[in-house]
Amino acid sequence: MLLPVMLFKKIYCFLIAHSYFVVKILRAVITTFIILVLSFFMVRASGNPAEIYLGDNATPKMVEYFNKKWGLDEPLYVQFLTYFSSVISGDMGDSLIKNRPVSEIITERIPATLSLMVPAAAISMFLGIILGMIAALHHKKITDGGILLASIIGFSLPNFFFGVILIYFFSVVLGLLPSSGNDSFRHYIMPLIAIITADVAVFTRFTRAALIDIFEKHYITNFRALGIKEKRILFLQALPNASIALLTISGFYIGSLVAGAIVTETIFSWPGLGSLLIASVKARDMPLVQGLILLFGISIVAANLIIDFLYGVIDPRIRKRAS
Amino acid sequence: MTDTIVRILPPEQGEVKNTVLSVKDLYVTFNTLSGLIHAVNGVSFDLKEGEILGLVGESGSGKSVSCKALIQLLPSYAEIKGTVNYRGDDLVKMSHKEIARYRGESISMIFQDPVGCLNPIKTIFSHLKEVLIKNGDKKNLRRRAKEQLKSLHIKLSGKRLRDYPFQFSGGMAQRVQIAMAMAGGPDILIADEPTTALDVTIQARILNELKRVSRKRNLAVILVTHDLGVVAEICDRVAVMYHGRIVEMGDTEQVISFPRHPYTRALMSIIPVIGDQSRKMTPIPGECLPAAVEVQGCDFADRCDRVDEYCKTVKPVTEEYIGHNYSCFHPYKDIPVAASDFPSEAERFVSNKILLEVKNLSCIFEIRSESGGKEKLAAVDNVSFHLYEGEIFGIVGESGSGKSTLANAVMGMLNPVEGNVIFNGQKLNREGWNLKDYARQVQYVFQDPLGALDPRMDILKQTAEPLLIHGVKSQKERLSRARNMLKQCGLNELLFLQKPYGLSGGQRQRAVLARALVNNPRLLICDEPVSAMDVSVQAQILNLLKKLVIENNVTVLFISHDLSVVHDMCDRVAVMYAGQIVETGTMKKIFNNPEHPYTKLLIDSIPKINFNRKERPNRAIQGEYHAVTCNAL
Repeated sequence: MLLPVMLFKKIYCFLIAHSYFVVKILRAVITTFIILVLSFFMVRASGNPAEIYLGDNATPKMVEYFNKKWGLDEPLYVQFLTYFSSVISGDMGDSLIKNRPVSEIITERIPATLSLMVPAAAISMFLGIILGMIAALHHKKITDGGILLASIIGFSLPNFFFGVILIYFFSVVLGLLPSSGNDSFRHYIMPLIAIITADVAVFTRFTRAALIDIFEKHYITNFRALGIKEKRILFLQALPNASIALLTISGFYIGSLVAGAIVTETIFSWPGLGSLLIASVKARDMPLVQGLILLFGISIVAANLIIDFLYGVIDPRIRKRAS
Repeated sequence: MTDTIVRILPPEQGEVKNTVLSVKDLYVTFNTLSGLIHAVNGVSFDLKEGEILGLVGESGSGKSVSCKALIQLLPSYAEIKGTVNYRGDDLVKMSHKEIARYRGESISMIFQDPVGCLNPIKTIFSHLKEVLIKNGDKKNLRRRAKEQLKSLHIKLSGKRLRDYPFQFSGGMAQRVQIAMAMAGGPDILIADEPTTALDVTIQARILNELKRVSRKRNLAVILVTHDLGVVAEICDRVAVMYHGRIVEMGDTEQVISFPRHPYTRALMSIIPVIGDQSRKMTPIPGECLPAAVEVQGCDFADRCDRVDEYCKTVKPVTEEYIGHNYSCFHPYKDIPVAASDFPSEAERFVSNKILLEVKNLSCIFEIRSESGGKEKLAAVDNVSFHLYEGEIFGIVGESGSGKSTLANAVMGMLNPVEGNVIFNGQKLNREGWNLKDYARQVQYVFQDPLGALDPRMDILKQTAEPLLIHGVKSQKERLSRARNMLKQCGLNELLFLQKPYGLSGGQRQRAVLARALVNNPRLLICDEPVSAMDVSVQAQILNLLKKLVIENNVTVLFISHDLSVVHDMCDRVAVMYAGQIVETGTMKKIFNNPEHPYTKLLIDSIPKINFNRKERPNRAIQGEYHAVTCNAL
């Protein structure tokens, strides 16, 4: 009799002690559920797919048969419950057009997108932090001004515009690089450049702003007054503090990465998730669109969850206040 | 935190000592977008081994800038001229790389905001580690950190080394700073307002520790402060700065007993002398000359009462007097500052009718305890007191004692959990709380006037606003009443249409007072109204408040952490400690005859100016009390 009570108390205490993380995980689960609900109902709000597949000449009987086959004749909430229970068990349904499981189609496309986006994000962050650091160290000097100007230009050039210019010069005029596909290393060069120019600028500006702010802080002056070397101050004191601000934008950044994938992949005909989404929306392939929205949503939620955890790791104030 | 006995030692009359630092004609100019700002205009002084030199002045007098210039800690747009001779090397001519070698090893510095001077995401140990690696090798760091703390008599257990700055109180953080600054074994320590942000009992201890370290290690200290009381407590010599120049310098005893420069004398007159109720503070007229303004003659001419035409055209040169320099054409000569210099003030009429009565008031907050459960914290714990009509009643206590929570509860901004507030015979409780009517009769003045004023509205409109809320229909009447009130608060009519940013700190607080009083309230709650101000402005505001109390017939609940300010203002005072009132009494009784040991400790901790040093006994403080740190709000 006593054992369950004690066990319950132990679990309760554990949850309270780690409430920061528990709350974050709960919130992530709720967000994912909301994404699921929204993607389901919004796709259905855009009309019945039967009209597209069967064309204007379809007889009512054909429509009825189509609806019955895909379960579209059931009430909405029944459809949702069926969909929800199958998603939980890992089945996202079959594509209306390709007649294959959605999960299979998506899995095929994931490597292409990741192989472009992961290096792009890594290079952007690395270069951005380095350039931001250089700019902050030369605050109000020519170097700083130059970097700032370059980052404004890079940031304001839209990806689709810059991508088209790249294709025109390197593929059409010079004939050096392939303009579509992802078969070799050479295919990666232009899409990477198009993504990185914009994203480096974001990280440069945020790193610079965060560091300039931190250099004004009393503890930096204090370390200077005690004769600690500037290098040590930068790498051991200022950068760890700046990483808190950098984490915040990384959260937004990972969200925009997916949106960026849609544009970039379309321009360079990249066989990834972005172009898949565009194609499936055009074809009104409901299960596939739902599956992709869910995947994008979960990846953003997961990225933010990881970032929230990292906040706790970097900033003792968050960690200690939680426990 | 638990040193049993702390002694405040008198400065020793030492043998002749070597000069470690010689500053000659130091000029600092800031090259800003709005033009050149001459922050320091020719400062010269010598610093001897083991000596504590006080650098006194109000904000903007250039004291902090001069100190930072010594080790080139100023931003790149500052131009430093002159010579700073440290054991034969000229520090001004050095490059940033060269000077970095002197920092920490020869000259160290500690700052005003002790918690902000520690990196919030690094442990205390990692801070000490940084300086230990710089001044030695990477071996046995943890042991050496503990030794360093031990040698400075800083009682900090090894476990606390793993804590983060935000878990430290200001006093402990300042001790960590001292330990960091002393790690390189410097000859000189520059302490820039090290105790200004600390509670008075903690201040007394930190000052003592500084003094002990200085004596033990033959460390020369430059103590920057705005508080002449602090100087009188621990400094051997003092330099008074005004507008980037040293106007008077000499042995502390000489300067404080026989101030020659009118500014020094004026500074002395605005410091409350404990135990002398009859004395009235005489504020210095006007405000500090801004650093951006250059005048032809004496910098102090526009505020000086001995000024003549000659002063306004020619800069005074430094006159020598035995152990005592000053720059003034009309110095005071060997006249000691005495109580008779200060006029006593008009009597206030205090009726015996009770206006406000607080009965058994408790404010309890739920906080999360370390084990994960919920804990109750009584920020205000069963407090009772009453205010007579026309009285100024002080509540004094250190940070975390619950005095602001109490004020909020009286104001009705916070519902007390238990107890009653009875205002003018009417009981105020949660149900029958007519806030609007009550708010007309009770007004609140905050510490930060800029935060209390609407940044987008001009002063006159803001002052008239309470009248609109409380139903004065005619705009003409509202504006004329606001105008009168602002004038009564000593604001120039030219400022009426300014926004708060266009006003100085003192002027802003005057505007806040005008706005609070415009609707003829009966009770004014002042929560630390002068804590963020310079001494001279502080004195002006306090005197204004006293005048307004008589003219407008209001009763004041005056909250402060500063006993000397309360001493100067109040008729009766209640001392708060850990949410409870430990002692209530008339000003005279509390100061001359304190009963509770905490009250005694508080009074003993105030840095005092004693006009007759030799008669002063060594005071011993039994240091068992420290305020509970309460961060519940």
